[in-house]
Amino acid sequence: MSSITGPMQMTPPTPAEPVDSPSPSYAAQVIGDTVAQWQAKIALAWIAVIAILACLAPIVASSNPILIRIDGHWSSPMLNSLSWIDLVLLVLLGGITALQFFNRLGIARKLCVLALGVLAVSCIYWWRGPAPQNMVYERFRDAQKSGHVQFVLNAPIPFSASDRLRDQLDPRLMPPSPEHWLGTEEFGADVLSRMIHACRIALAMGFVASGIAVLIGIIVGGIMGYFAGITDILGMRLIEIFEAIPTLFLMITLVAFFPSEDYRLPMLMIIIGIVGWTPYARYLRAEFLSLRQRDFVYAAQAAGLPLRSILFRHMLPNGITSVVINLSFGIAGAILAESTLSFLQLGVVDQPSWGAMLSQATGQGGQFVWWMALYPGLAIFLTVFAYILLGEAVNDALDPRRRR
Amino acid sequence: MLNYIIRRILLMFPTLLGMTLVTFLVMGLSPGGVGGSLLNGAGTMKADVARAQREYLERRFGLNQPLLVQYARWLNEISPIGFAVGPNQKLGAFHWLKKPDLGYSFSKGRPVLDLVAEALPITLLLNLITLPITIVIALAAGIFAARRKGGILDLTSGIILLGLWSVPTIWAGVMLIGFLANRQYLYWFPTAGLHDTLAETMPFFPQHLAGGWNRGWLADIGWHLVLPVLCLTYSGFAFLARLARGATLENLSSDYARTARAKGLDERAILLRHVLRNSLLPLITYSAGILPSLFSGAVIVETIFSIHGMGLLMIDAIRARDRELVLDEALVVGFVSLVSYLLADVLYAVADPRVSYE
Amino acid sequence: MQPLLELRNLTVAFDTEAGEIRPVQDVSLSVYPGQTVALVGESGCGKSVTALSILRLIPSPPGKVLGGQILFEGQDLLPRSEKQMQAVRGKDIAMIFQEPMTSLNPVFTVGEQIVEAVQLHQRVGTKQAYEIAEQSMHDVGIADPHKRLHEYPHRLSGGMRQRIMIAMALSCRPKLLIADEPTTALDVTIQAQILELLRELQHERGMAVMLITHDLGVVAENADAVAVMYASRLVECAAVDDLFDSPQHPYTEGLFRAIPRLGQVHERLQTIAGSVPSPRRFPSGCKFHPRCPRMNADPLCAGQEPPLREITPRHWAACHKIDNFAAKPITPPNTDSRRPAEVSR
Repeated sequence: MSSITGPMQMTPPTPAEPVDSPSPSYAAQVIGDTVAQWQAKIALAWIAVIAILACLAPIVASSNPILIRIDGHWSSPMLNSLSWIDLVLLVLLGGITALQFFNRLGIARKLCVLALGVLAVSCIYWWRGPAPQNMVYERFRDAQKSGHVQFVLNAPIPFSASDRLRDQLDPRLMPPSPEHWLGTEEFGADVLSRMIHACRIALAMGFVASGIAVLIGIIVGGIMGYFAGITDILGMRLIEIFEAIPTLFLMITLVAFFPSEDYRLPMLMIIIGIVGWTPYARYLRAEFLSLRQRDFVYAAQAAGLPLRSILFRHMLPNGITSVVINLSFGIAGAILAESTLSFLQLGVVDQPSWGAMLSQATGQGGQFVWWMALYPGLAIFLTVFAYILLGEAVNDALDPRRRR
Repeated sequence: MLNYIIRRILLMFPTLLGMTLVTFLVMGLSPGGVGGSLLNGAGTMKADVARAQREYLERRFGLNQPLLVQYARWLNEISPIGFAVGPNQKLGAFHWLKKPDLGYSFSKGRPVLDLVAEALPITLLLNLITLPITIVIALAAGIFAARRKGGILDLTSGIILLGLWSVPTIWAGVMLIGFLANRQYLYWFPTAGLHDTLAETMPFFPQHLAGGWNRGWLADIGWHLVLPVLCLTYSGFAFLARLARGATLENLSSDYARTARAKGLDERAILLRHVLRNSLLPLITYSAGILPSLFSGAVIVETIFSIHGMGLLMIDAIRARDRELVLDEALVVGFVSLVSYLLADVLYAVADPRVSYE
Repeated sequence: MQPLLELRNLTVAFDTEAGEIRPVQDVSLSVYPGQTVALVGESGCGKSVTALSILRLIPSPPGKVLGGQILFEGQDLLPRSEKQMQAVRGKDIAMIFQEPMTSLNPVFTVGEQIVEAVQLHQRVGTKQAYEIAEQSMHDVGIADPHKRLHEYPHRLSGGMRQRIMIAMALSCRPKLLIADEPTTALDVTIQAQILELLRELQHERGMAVMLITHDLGVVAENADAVAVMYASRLVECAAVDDLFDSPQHPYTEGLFRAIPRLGQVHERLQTIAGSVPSPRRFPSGCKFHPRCPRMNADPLCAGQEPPLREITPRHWAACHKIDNFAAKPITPPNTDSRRPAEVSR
């Protein structure tokens, strides 16, 4: 006999509330859910602090005074010493902040405004000429001591990252003091200043390296998932090869063979990206393997769309979720990787990095320099923690069952 | 089961081959190519050393030959199956089992195989001690949190675990050695190495000798291992503990747990007998995943604590620009990782009766 | 004769994020020794929660019993401690569930799981426990039980797993078996086998069965008495023949009307208009009134919950619109309507 639930019919549902406002897009909804969580707020706040410090670094921490009057002659050494990157970052920071007040402009317009700003600043830079190469940081302090200075307005932290305080007797490894809030490092430079300047490396590495990893991962994973069959088998072998060798070993090997003293930073970004693409490939492969059986894919194929379009315009938006979930963790991993490589003295050499500073903690002669251990390490930890919290918040937003 | 193991071992070969290919490509594509990149610090070396090195490279790779031939020759040398190579670079007899020639390290002045044979057991020791400790503590913590789900202890422990996971190993190692192994602060643990300088003279077990209490070799190595193992466990533990908590929660509310309750079993027995076995399964799977990170961690830990394992060997190699040593190490470690993946899969098949690989 | 199990005004509540919901309200029914009582209703009406509450298997933080009594052999189970309940579960009252695949632990053999049940309530050694387990498996009709003892659940078919569940439940000879939709997840032919098995075992052992189902066909074949639940409340309760011959409550009427009959020409299946309300939003008054053909916009139906009253001897229903309804006394349902053959037991 048939069961009760079979023949039961439902009358057409009457709508409970009238639909008057357009519902937000899926992406906007996810972002909203993520940011609503308190962990995400704290994480984003810290990341914002690091980002702002990275942009403002040459203004906040510099041996070049903002404004100085030497022998009656006004000048702004700081402005003169800004490099192109410095200017671009400042414009971007200012532009993004200012654009917050103009909500009604669309995203495209805002991007145009920013691009114009970058262009304008580039013109100014080209007109002014490049920043002087060899800085003599003690210049201004000497001038002050010898009484030539009538007025000086210094940066909040009046030391540049590379200023080794040659005008002082023995500035190396001084503990924290009122002049140097976090002490000085191995060569005499101010630790706080170096840490602020190191924000750039951390963030740049995080975004660019994971960007490269995501790109490679999406392409490889997408192709594997779409074609399946032999392509998938070969691709899985490739993934296994990359995953078998531990990441640090692989990175060290690549650094050993591609040292590239001139393009150290981009090289490192590529290396970290190459080592980290496999998780994204796995996720996208899994999604594509199931998506390829769906009707809209058949429709796109039947319509004769080029492969590029099918993969990236039609299938990718549907499968991108799992990749996005792990992006934050990937960025955290990239920052950790850069710190570790710098710690092992295999990272960037000319720019300050938290990892490299950490390696100075167990200095020569077995002395433990606690301020070089605590502060740079704390910076790395907090930044990595922030990205991990953010990743967890995204996870919870996308799958509410995970919430406790 | 035996079939499965044999099949997996056979499947390992293509991956191994691929690994050698990829690493050889790294050599070949780097600036200087195979020969150039391996020439150690050319220009700063004495003439006879440089000559010896060039001869060595010629013999091993054949520097003017096509890339494929170089790869084949190199592969032949490093594999335990292959042709013996005579003094005039002529191929000798084919052996089913020969001693793999991993090359010669000019920076250390010894064959690579010997160096690896010394360093690998130490790194393995470090990892093999770390892994069980990690799993046990993670299970305990996960079950602890799951039983107090939603409570203040559960929520705070969740955040703390996330924090632990984020602590960089470099920072943990430096802080631990700086504060706990330091005559300036707390000298609870030794600063470096795995053995005391007088370790050779110690008896194996702790004993009370004439001159006073002697730690004994076993306890000595244990004392030296505390900080390094601590550095290696905490991050794996944090990850696995969250996993254990999730698995335990899922299993506690599963249908078979409900059946067990309906039979009259008390919660503790359900937890320890039914839920534990099932929660262990995902942990085993993921343990295989954290093994590569354990090796990576070992690089950092060995460097900080001056333990002469594979990690420190790698760092020394790259500092001395001994690139062939770097490459060979990557290969060896990769091979060991593959073997451990296989072991983890076998272990999983043993633990989960649903899995059949026939 | 005293009922084996008696529920008196049982009310269960759950604390959810949206507030408190009550999936079971004021449910009273009784089960006599050897009798099969079917608890019938659609998904979400509260029948599973009722069954789980009998054994106090509802997880306590979100769920709680708000009122009523659960009398087993005259003793109230509700005030008992967890340890005392553990002595009851599996021994006096046993329960089997709907999904046999997930209801058995995949990492233990079926033998180990039955032995666990045996050793919980009987003081026997392992060897003897295995013998009892083997005997149980034989009793439920599993061929070659000695070999099957060492099989893992995933190697057995759905029907066999459900037999194992029954063997496990019956291994300590309980007086009452609660079967929560035991055949819903099985093929129709296996369904029939399992139900017949249950009937046989019941006759052999004089065991009472509370059968929870949504399938009226199963009810007709197996039950002595039927209790119909709708939206957390008991709406009708009667002997099976009485119910099928003359259903009193409009919901039950609607259920029977919806079943297509052979030989009759239908253009469209008759349905009950509307849909089952969610526990978060129960209607006021009689929970069925928004869908009831008898209501005729009577404010009584929308305002007052109809109590369960005896309409004809041993036939209870809860509806304001039954003739002479108000004149009937309110009495708790006595479903002692066993088939004559068993009364003498």
